[in-house]
Amino acid sequence: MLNPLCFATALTISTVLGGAGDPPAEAPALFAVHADRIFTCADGRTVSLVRDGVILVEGKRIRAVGPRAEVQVPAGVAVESLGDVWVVPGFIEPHCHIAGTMDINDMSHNANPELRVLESIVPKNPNVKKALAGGVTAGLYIPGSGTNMSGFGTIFKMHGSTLDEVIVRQPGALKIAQAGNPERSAGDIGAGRMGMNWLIRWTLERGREAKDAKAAGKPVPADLQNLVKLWDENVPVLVHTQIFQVVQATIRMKDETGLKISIGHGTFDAFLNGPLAAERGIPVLLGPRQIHFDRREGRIYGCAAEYWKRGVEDIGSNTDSPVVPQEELPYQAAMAVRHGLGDHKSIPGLTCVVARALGVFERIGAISAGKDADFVVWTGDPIDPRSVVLRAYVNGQLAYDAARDGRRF
Amino acid sequence: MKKHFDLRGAHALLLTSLVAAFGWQPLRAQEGGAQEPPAEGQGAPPTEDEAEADGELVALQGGDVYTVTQGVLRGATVLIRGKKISRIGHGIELPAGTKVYDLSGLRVYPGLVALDSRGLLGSAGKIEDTADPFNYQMTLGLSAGVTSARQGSAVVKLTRGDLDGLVLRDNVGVSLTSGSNSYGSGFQQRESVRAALRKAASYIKAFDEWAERQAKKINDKDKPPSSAGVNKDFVKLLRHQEQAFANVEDAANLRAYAQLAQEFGFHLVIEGCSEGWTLADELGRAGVTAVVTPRNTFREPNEELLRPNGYSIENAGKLHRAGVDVCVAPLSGGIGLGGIAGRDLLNLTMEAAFAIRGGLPADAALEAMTIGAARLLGVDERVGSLERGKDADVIVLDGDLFDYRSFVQYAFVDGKLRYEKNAETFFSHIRPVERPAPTVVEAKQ
Amino acid sequence: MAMSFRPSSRRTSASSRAALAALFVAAPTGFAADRPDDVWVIRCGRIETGTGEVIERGAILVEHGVIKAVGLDIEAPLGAREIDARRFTVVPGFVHPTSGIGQDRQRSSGNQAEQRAHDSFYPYDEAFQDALEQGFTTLALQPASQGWLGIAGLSSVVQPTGGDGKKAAGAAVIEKDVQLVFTMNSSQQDKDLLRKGFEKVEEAVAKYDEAVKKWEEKQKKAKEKKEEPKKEEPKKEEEKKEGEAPKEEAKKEEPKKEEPKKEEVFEAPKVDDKTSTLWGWVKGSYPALVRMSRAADYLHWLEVVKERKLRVAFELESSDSYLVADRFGKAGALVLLDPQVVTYPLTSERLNLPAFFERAGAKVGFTASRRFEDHRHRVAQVVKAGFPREKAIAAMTSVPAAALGIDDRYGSIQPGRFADLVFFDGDPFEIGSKVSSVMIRGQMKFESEKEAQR
Repeated sequence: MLNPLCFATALTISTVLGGAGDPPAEAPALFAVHADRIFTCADGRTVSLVRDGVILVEGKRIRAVGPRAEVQVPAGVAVESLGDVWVVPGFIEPHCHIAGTMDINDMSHNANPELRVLESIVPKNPNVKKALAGGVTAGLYIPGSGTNMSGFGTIFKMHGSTLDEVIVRQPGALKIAQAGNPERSAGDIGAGRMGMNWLIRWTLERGREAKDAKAAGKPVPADLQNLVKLWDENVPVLVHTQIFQVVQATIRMKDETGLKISIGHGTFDAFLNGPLAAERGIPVLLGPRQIHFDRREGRIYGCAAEYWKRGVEDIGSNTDSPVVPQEELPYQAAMAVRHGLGDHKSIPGLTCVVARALGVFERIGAISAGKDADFVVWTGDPIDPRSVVLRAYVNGQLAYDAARDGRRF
Repeated sequence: MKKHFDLRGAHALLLTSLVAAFGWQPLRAQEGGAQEPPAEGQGAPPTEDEAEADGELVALQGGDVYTVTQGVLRGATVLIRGKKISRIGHGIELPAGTKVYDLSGLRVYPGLVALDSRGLLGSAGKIEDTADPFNYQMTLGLSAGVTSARQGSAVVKLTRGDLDGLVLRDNVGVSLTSGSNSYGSGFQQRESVRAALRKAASYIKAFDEWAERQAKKINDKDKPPSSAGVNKDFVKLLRHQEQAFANVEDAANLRAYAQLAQEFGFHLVIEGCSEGWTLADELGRAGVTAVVTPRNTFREPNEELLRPNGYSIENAGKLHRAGVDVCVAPLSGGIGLGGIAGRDLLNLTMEAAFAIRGGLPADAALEAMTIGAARLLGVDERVGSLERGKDADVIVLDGDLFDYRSFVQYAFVDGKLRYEKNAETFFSHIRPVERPAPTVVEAKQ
Repeated sequence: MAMSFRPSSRRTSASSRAALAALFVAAPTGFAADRPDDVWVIRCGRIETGTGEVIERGAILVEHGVIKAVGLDIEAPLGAREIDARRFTVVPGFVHPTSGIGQDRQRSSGNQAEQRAHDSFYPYDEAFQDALEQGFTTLALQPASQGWLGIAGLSSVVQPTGGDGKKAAGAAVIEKDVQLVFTMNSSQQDKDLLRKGFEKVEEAVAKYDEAVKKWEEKQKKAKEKKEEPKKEEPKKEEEKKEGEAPKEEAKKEEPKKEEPKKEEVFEAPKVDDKTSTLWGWVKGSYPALVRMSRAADYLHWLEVVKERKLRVAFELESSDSYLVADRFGKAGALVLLDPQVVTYPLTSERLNLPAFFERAGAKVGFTASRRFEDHRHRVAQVVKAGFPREKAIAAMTSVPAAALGIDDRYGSIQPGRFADLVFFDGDPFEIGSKVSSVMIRGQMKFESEKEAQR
């Protein structure tokens, strides 16, 4: 498998690029907030609670976080006390369609690696504004699943006026759909499972060949340029996959390509593949279906709980918004927990786990020094639908303030 | 004659385990007999003697009892006799033969009243002739804590396994947004409804005057006023025998309906009511009840409009603060098992949790799910709170009603155990809470 | 006569070959009921009477096709011939209580109570011979063969005739109008059919009573005139119960008989055929078969029949009917089930439905599919899974006969029943056992040995 090596490379490149993108000259603004509970998710896996903590923000980034006594707040910077609140990293939606216009299903070919949603992003649209009120600050905006390979998505933020401000990474991820929707287009190859898997294999292989050709100094056809990036930069692949047998094909794809694949949806009885996913460290990003009703057994299974029971640690949730409204992302986790997932898995599954799956953990998904200052102030447990978002910070800016903007959710 | 069989031994052991697993016991218990419920005295609880003769005794002991109307009693006992609640409190002496459930650490609430439901009866058509009280949707309804539900124009109880007692009442309310009494939105239609209401009002006046004269026996030949052409539904509304229902979302229509109710003095229930928060005071003055679905995104706020408008998560809270009785309905009244969780009747309490998020106090949310909804459906004499003499419709949870992790552990309807989480397949595998088996109080020597 | 029976480990005797030969030689072919010497003593290895009783080395005395005696010490009357069947297990002929074989009319819906199954009977369905060869001697002839809904009409009963080379094998109607059949789903339509049916019957009864009363008054006056005291006849109703079906004709006839004056005849009020059929059931002239598919149907049934005492048997689909097994049991109801272990709805748990109902206290009988060759083995599976062996034969014979209301004449080896017998060369539920011969009304209708030769 290529994976570890590619991952390391991607990290390096991103870090370098990230540094270069900083605005120069003007000294970045500093501010600090104090809260009773700060869930940092800093290790990328667990919630890591800091009691009586302080977050020091410098410009777009977090400069420091920790217990009040340990964080050095420069003189002249006031520490605003938020009191008895929960501060958590901004949630990251791993699968949504609401960052712009809804025309994201070009379906003339069954594999469209040349397409990207970038063109249809509309910053600050009503959906993303409401998302902030649900504690969601970033997401992966992807094309629909009308075709086997519907194009490249963008990882974006829910706040910001320009594309530059909004984009976390472009291309964010390749969207592949294995069964479930592509069959709906009739006739062509790709409408059946054999055909669609072949088409995906063949298209990915063409991309790899193009990458080798590029390395040898040969030109890359326009329609394969995104795929070359996929191979070069280890761009993640989000696979629309569900049902036991289809997810098996997804796992085979992982074995055959070594790409940075995540299981998206993963619902119905697909959790039976849990051990295989666990063995390979494939993240499972569940939703919008969180439960599976087994009519043979009369049992209602929580999908997340069943993966977890089978050894999968990297479990996240999605809304597939607008299927489920974007602001209900934490409620998806609530349903996962209600149906058996461990309490402690809920917040990581909306933050660091997703960030790692999408390869952007160096920037978002945790409250730790150097990360983007994307965090959300809640009145209580953010998974509890009774809790309210008081504030959402994105890139160090107060993107949503319930008191200032009025309650949006 | 000699009888011998050597194949006799092959008894299926699995049956016993199946019986246990499927909660056969409660269903068996239902055969006990169709005793009449105790007399429903207005506020007068049945005396011990009356109750003595009546029905099986079940005690729910040691849980925190949320009566809704009479506060919370920690570690109290609810004593059920037959179909009714016999006593609630501490230190109740349990007669011999009482079946006792130890509920310490659990919470006891009245069964929830769903304002709208679909599919719980496993059938469509005339309820009395088609209801399937064994269908699994009814079981799931109970698992959601629902023990009474409006189904079409009727209110039914989830008497799982029994037709007896299933229909609580029929012909709920008078709709002002559908059918012949629709107030609609056009001028003409509205005028005709107002005319009909005026006619009903003057008929009532004439009738009451006649009745008064009759009482005094002024004139033998005095005849009652003619009811020809008088809208009987409206007479009921104006006499407060029935409530009006209207499904209205936007501010302009909300105002029109509220004004109508205020002008003619009838009680109006507004379902939907998305923009209610923008004229909460007016609705409060009109004395309406609002049935709110906090996540109903009827209309996104339009920032170009000068007035506040559109959906708001704070709707329920703002209406409540303006004195409007608020009830809560889920996004869907059915129970879907397609996989998307938490958006229909199966998680009714979660919709209320979103109302709490929007500022509805938790106790008001509890009322909204129980006594408030019962009042709205005109069944609050029977259900909606834990009180002596009321129907023994009780749910028991392992946590707060509005906590997303809580599950209904037991549901009793008409005093019979109709649902037990551990005994059903649906959720028994999720965080099972081990409970001791019920015991029976032995007779004193 | 060379027969290839499995060597039996039990009760092997030197005379076994001769005994077998005797059995088959002595057995007459074709009906011969009127022959004065048609008296037989059948010496059996084992008799399962179909009522739960087992008699080892017993005998059956058959006179003119009817069983006269069963037991250990049966003395052969003078001139009786003996059949040595001591190597065989003898059971009553199996009864298929829900058969539509031979019924040309396929479907029905609504209230078609007036339909008579035998009016559209086709006797030469090949399945009759299959049934015979597997030991079925009595089959219901339902008024519609499939897809019937509502009140389908009155069933008859048929028996296989067997073939003799010249005549085609088939079946003949032997009892008419034995049982009313209808479906009872949780639907307003089905409940209304019954409710309205009951109403009409009650109306008809009231009218009839009124007419009788008037008639009697009239007669009384006439008598008073003549000063001739005569006996009245208040027992009309009771007498009618004994009849097969309360037909209009029957009602008219009765007063005729007892009325001395021929010019003055009691005119019973007209009753339509549908109502008179239901009336017959309501007053108990014949039972009904009520077909249900869900547990809820039973509750709705109870809701419709209320306090009425009715003769009924229930045919239940597996579905969730187990949920009301205890209620059937408490009522001691007769329940007809497919002999199989089913899967609960919404679980992967297996449930021996017949055993479950039996344990709950219901009388369980088995329905049969058209695959008669599987029937015994399907029952054997249910027995293996816990259905009491001692009730298994009854569930295939006397219980289904009771469902059809003919158990006083069919379905068991008891005095007064037709000699419908099946001879097995071993335990009927052993996989290797087979039907050696089948006797219907004292006559061999099937003999495997002869069949093999043919």
